[in-house]
Amino acid sequence: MKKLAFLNILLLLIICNSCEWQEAEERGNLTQRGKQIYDIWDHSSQSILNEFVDKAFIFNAWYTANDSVKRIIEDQWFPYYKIRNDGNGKYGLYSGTTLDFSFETNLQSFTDSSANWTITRHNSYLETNTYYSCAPIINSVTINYTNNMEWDIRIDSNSNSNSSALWHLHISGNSVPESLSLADYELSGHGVFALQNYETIGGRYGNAPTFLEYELAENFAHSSGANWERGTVDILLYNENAESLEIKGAILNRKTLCIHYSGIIEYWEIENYF
Amino acid sequence: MKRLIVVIFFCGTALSLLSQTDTTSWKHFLPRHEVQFGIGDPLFSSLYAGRINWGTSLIDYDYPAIQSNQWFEPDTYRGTTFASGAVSVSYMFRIQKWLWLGGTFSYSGFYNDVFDRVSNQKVDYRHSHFISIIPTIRFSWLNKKYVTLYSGLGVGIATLLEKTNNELTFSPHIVPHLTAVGVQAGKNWYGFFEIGLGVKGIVSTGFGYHFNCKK
Repeated sequence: MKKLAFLNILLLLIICNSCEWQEAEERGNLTQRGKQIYDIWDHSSQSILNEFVDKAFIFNAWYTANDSVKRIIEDQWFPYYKIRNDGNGKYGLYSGTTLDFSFETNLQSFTDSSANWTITRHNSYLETNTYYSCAPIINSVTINYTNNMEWDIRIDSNSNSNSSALWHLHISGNSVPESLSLADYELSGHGVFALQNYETIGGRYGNAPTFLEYELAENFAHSSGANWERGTVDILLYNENAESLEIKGAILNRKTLCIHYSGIIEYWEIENYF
Repeated sequence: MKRLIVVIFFCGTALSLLSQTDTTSWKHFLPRHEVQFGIGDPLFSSLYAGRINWGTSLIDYDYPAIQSNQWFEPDTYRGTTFASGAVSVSYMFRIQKWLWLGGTFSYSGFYNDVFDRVSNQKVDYRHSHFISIIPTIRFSWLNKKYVTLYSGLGVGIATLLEKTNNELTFSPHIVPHLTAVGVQAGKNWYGFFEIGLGVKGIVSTGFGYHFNCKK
């Protein structure tokens, strides 16, 4: 009996003393919110480069190649697509019978003076890379050749759910690369991404529409086989309730990103996507 | 419907037979009422309250994913969570020497502060209160004057109240409690120890009082 009473008291003491249920979360990086915003910009920009601009370069390689090389390019870069000439300088990338992308060349080569290509992603195409549920919806990009291996990339807000951009792309070297991923290039410009307001876990919709406005304060440089090598972007995130956040992201080298957020500077290691 | 009437009839008959066949001998030395106060681990309640760390999600790499309506909310992190333990109060009535009916009220609380990541100042809190009421049936399979061994089962209702600076939410639940083995030692005042699974905890202990209303 005494033993049982002792055991009871002991257990009671143990239970009462173990009232710390979960350790506190780590405070983590102080610029975490800034990094999240930078990543949205980076992901969205790289998606546009990969989904539209790079496809234009690959399509140009196919467009300008002779018939024997066309098949090799198609097999290498568009293994899941068929390229069809839809007439009037318009070509389609078909997955089965579904049109996923179309290229309007205006019967011009990609490097003709004042060439004006429009690359359209059709609604039938489902974006698979949707880690960022709030990434902007981009459907159409226009690319103009200006001069000396330089192109203007335009995103028109009317056809892109209020997102817009004007980028300037300069590729090093004298020949047009088969793919942008193989090229050394620099990107400058500015734009606005209208972020999507997705339903949250709690069932509430997002607050007022949110916009990510940015300017490349220093050119973003890319070399083949690597991620960004250098560049600085100033980002202003705001919504229609006049709430706003400012972030500066600076790529110092292939592996280091410097984030300025809320008066704090922190360095982040960045992953190489290639 | 016929089956239901038959079942009710047999239950009623069985209960009346039980009361008639009751020799009442046990009533002279075993108490019929008890009130019990206990405390146990709040593990089970923490599942309902979402207060268990299940590890990092695969899609979170160097920070948690953010929802689009959270951009302008403070960037926060959770402070230490404290738990009250599963505090319970039970009343049981002995129908037969080996059969008890009653109910259990239990409470488990989890409390933490929320801090702004940049300023490290407290900006919010989260208090979770898990309250349940469970009708309980108990089978005492060793009934000595000073020691009782028993098992039991109950299913009841619970509500989870979540309170933060900005909101108070309720969510109802159906909750069980299974007492695999319980032991009571003492005469009028007694101590107890139980092992089971449910809102009273996996292990719970405490004290109680046995009494009879009529002598």
